[in-house]
Amino acid sequence: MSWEVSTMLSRKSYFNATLFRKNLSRFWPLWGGVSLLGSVFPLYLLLQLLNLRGLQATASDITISLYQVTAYFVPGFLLVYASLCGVLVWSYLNSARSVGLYHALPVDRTCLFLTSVASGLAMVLLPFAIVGLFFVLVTLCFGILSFQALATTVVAVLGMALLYFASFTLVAMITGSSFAALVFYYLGHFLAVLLQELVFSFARGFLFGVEQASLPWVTFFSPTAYLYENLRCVPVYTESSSGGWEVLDWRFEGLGTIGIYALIALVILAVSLLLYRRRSSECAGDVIAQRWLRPVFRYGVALFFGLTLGQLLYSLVYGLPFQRGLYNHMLPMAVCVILTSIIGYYVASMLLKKSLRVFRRSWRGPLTVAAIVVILCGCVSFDLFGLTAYVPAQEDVASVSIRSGATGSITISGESAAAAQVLRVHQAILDDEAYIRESTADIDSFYSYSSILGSDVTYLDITYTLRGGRQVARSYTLPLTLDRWQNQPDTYDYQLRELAMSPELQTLALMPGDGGALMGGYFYYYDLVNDVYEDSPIEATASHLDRLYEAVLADAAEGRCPLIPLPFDSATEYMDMSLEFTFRVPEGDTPGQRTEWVQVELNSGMTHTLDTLVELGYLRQDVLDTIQRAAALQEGATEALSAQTA
Amino acid sequence: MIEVQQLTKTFDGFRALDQATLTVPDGAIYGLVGPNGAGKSTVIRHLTGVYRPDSGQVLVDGEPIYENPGKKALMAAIPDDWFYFPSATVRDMMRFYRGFYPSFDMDRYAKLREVFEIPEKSLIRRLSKGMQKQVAFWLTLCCRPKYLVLDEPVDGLDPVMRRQVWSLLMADVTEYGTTVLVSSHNLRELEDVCDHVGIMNKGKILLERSLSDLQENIVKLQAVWSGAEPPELPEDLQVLHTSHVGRVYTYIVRGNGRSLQERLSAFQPLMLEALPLSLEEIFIYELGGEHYAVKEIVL
Repeated sequence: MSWEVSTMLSRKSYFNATLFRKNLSRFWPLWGGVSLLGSVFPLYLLLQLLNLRGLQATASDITISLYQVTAYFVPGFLLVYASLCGVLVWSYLNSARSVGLYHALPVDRTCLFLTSVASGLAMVLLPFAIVGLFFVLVTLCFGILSFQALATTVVAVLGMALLYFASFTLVAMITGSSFAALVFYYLGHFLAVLLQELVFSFARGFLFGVEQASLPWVTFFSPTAYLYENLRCVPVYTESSSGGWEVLDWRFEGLGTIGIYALIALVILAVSLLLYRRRSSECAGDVIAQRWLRPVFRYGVALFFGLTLGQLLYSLVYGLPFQRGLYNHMLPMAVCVILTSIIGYYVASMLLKKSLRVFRRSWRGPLTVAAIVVILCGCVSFDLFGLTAYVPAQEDVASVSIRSGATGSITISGESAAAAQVLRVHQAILDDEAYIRESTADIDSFYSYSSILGSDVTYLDITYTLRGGRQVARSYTLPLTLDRWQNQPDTYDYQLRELAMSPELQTLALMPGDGGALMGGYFYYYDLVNDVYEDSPIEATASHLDRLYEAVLADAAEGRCPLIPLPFDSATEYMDMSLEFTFRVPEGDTPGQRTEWVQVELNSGMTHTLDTLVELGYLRQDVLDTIQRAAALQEGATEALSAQTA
Repeated sequence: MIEVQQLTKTFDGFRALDQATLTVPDGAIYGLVGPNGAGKSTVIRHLTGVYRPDSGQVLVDGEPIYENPGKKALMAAIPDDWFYFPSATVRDMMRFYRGFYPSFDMDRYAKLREVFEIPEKSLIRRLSKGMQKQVAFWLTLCCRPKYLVLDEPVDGLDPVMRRQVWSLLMADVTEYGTTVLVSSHNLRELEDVCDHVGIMNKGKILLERSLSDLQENIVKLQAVWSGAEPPELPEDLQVLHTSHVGRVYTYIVRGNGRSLQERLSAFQPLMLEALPLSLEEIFIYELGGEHYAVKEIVL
């Protein structure tokens, strides 16, 4: 018998229909069940449309529904559902019996891989296809289907399905256990933001003022977080005949992001294929199926344990005498991190060996872990990279945002005089680092007695955006004293006062983004007379809004709207009273895309604003007088107590 | 022809195969025997393309089997732990195999249905271990393989079904020239069907020969000597084992029976007889030289 004639495959095959069908038929309860559950939504829509026949359901409503589901439901759903499909499709790799059958079949691994990916993706997409078809039929019957919205949704779902299934596939190629695959998958999807948080929280404990900057590229590596940040269903406004704004249409934002992720998913699949071809069948059941990754896993788990449990352990013993002030002490922190890292090292070893007997002749690993941790703690504690002392040159700063006290974040152009003042404050703070560390060493008593002892505490957050796009963030808790505040120009107290009192910055703090239009406002205050919190919308049509905003701007121009609550100044008591202005800000060429809010805490020195509020009837004069008297009494009592203590 | 050349495989520092070399001629029924942990199943997983060799080669018709679908299509295997899908019926598994093996023979499937008498629609997981083995044979034989690799194939089958299965295999070998490699501990059964034997121990092939060569090359000599003590045998005689019961001495000696008889006749025995060894005896005495023997245990 000539076997070659009957059995030799004539050409290389990349797809096996039998395996594809087998996967779909084996795992139909999953995708069938999800399809059934999903079909409830179009059914609900149908019933709604039948019941609400008298009401208007428009294509715009359907567009909003599609976009909102795609932006706010699909990423989270796919994160979970794609992992379940992945677990089932790749389960054959995790048992010696099944892998023995699959890898003995007359197909090569490329064919097995591509067929499994195709069937996995089909399982992920089938519920969308079934529910989508039902949805299309319902909306077509009522003539309310937007084909553009449907096409956008289909493209977005395809891209995201590819991303999530590809990422699980990569994990499945690395591990030989379904449970480990799920753990790695979910951890991997948030690893970047988690590590960023851990590293910064560790560094923050040592480095003076260093704060976690917003690093979009880090979030990018945690796709679900990034998608939730960047996928949006946004209204497109147009100017109405009455002069206001009305919604013209709805737009789905983030399709480009999905496209980039889809391309990355293709790369991930290519890498996964390479890993699959290298993978040893005998690794079925192992936590890590790629031998070269085992040391990475062992030391990775050790450091992860160190950063998480080490900091947790340190915080548990926070009350012990070695912890003073805002910053951590190196020795106890290093001990905690070393201890938990070594635990992590042995846990990883146990998982790799699938045995608890990992301690014999294993001193080299823990010693390496301890050495790494000591080097890490040393680098951070002694600030070997000079992060603490870094103040960017003004020519390198594209913009700087500051936040302190009463206002929200204010962004200033890097070339402005105000930016130069921010840099001066920053440098003055660094010059006084030893003084600040000493003053905040016993932070509990510092906060308790600050107001009595003629001193105060404030905070200052500074975020520089450099010309290259990099962000540098700092956050300082600053003790303030009356003498330095008023009489010592070289101190950060004095420089901060200059910054806070700058009319230019005060005015800037009240400005929305370029081209912003004032849309509305609210006035909030605590009515001492009647003991209630009041909130009143400010009427836009009666020009009240414009008049109040102009009054606040006038106060700011005269420097009466300080950026931080001014200490040691009886003329500017805060009265539990604030104004909020809403602006519609354009984005690109589209008007009214984004809403911005400006919040103003009112103080007794803002006479233009207070007079206007009384004049327009938002605040009764007698209530204002009572509030001001109460504020003055409180200030007098504080001063008397302070003098008595002194 | 299947050729395994200098095959080495290590699992986490344990060397399961150590330069193993064997050759299975076309049309042969090759029995791979060895003690537990010798590396037989590891060799089989290499032969079916499941394992990638650390070093060495596994060639089928002169081509490496690993990642070679063309050659894998010529080969079907029944491992000792045959896998079936948990919710699969016999028919489901038949469809699965049919989708992968282009030579899958539906006529044979129908004929073998009469032989095995297992309902096609029954879930395989509900069948007994022996019946599951029968299903494995049923499907594998329908693949019409040129090479059939079996690991403990009749383990769990009743005597009637054992004979039935062996007869089917022998028929395939005779009729189609199928080459069979079979690993088993049941040496008496192997002796009846195999024409070639390879003995493995500690990851190595100790020897491989045709069964007739093997049996001609080792012999059991029984002698009764005239004196109270047996004579000192020549030093170049490869005596694997000596024992005696009363005055009857038994020698297991490597070499041809007739020539050995002639040489020992010079010592004028009262009685001298050359007896052929069974495969089991050959296995035991060959491995005895490798320090693998039944230990005398005093409890």
